[in-house]
Amino acid sequence: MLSTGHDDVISSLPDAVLCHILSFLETKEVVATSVLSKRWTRLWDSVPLLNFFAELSDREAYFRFNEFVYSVLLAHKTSIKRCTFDILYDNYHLAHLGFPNVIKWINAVVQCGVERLYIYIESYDNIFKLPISILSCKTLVVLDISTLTAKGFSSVRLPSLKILRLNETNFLNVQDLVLLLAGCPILEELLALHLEFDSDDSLTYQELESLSLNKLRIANLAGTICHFPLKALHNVELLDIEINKVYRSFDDISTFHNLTNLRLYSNNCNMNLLVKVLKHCPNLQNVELKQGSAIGMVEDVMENWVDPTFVPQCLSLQLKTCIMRHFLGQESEIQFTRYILKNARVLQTMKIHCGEDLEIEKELSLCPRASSTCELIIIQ
Amino acid sequence: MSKTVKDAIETIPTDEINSISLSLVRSEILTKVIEYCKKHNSAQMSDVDLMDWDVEFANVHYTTLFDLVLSANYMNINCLLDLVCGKIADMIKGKTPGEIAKLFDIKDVSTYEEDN
Repeated sequence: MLSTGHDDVISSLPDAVLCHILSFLETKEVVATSVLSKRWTRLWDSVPLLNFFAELSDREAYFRFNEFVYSVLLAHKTSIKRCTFDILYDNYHLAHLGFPNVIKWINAVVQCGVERLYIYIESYDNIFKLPISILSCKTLVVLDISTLTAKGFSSVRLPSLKILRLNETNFLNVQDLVLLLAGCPILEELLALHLEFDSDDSLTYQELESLSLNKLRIANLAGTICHFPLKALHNVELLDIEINKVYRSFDDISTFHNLTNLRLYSNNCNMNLLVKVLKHCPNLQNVELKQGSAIGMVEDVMENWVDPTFVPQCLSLQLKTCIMRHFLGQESEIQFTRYILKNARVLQTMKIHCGEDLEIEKELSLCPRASSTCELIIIQ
Repeated sequence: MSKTVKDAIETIPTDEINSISLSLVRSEILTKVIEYCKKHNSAQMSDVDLMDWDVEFANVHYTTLFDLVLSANYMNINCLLDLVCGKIADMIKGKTPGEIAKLFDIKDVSTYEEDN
């Protein structure tokens, strides 16, 4: 069994390096290496990263996976820096059986001082609730969750959280979302995609004003239709957001001083509102407008364009690119495009994506342009 | 890019530096490491091209990979360390313990049953 003369090179690498290599593997494979030799046996439970992937459609696979996860968590000796649960319960019954176990696993990992936690759990009916223990985890720096329900929590304390990614998360109402964000004082990046709310309760004026996320630099709220407290986003540099009828009056929102890149999803292309938005973004360099929100609906809108009496500062000094997607060729859209071309002094690119049968190229290329280097690109 | 070199430069007064001792790194490997650092510091290549270059760079015999891993670890170059560790991990992925042992010439494979 043993050949004492040869020392295979890989096993002579230092522990820390071997653990680093193992950290790129699924936990299942890491455990498998423990049989390679005595040297490897004592390594696998020191790898500070755990990745659990499974697609469970029958009972046997389900029980084996459960056993595996429990045994790994029990054997683990060092603190867990990063943990991923990526589980598909392809069977309604198994999902209900599995749910309490998942809660226990997550609680265990939270107690081990986890810093980066990724939870993607899919099942037919969205029964998986976010374990409350996560919301008071002092060590958490990154939290990335998909298709979970976040309900029944009342206090959130995430003093180290810098990155929060929520995908298709279900909340009771916007107040709960605000409560969650209020517990993340040093948040730098927020992804809140396709969030759903049980009720339409709007925030009070107090609630709208109170949330402040001073360190937030990146916010992506595509697909989330609600009256989000915009004041909380006042320091962001990159923003993706749905503009809907809720933000009717833009006069009282704060100015986005650091915003350089803005992507707007709009369901009813109120182009006059758009100009108002630009007024609040003095340093905007790149703007993109997608008609029909991220959810994909486009409402028919009759609207009269009114030539604005002011020129937003970003148009005069900063705006370099303007991209318009799903351009329908409506009169207000054309007038808006003409307005931008006429006033954007440093514009380099105006790019318009529209249907093949739309004949706007001639009309738009004749519009006067404030910027001599501006290129008009129409993609059909 | 190398934290070890950076620390050395910062702690020794500049007039006294003639050379920084990297005694644990063989010259052929050091050449490759320098090649990596130069490529990643120049702003010439696009991200996609740089990724392709990295794949080519790491496409070497595993003994060279291990030398690179040790050097990157010793010189504290995190991105190179990740690249090479990732490549070694790729070589391990999807293989049974028996196949891994054969690939890396591990001679002390235990004979008890795998448990998972």
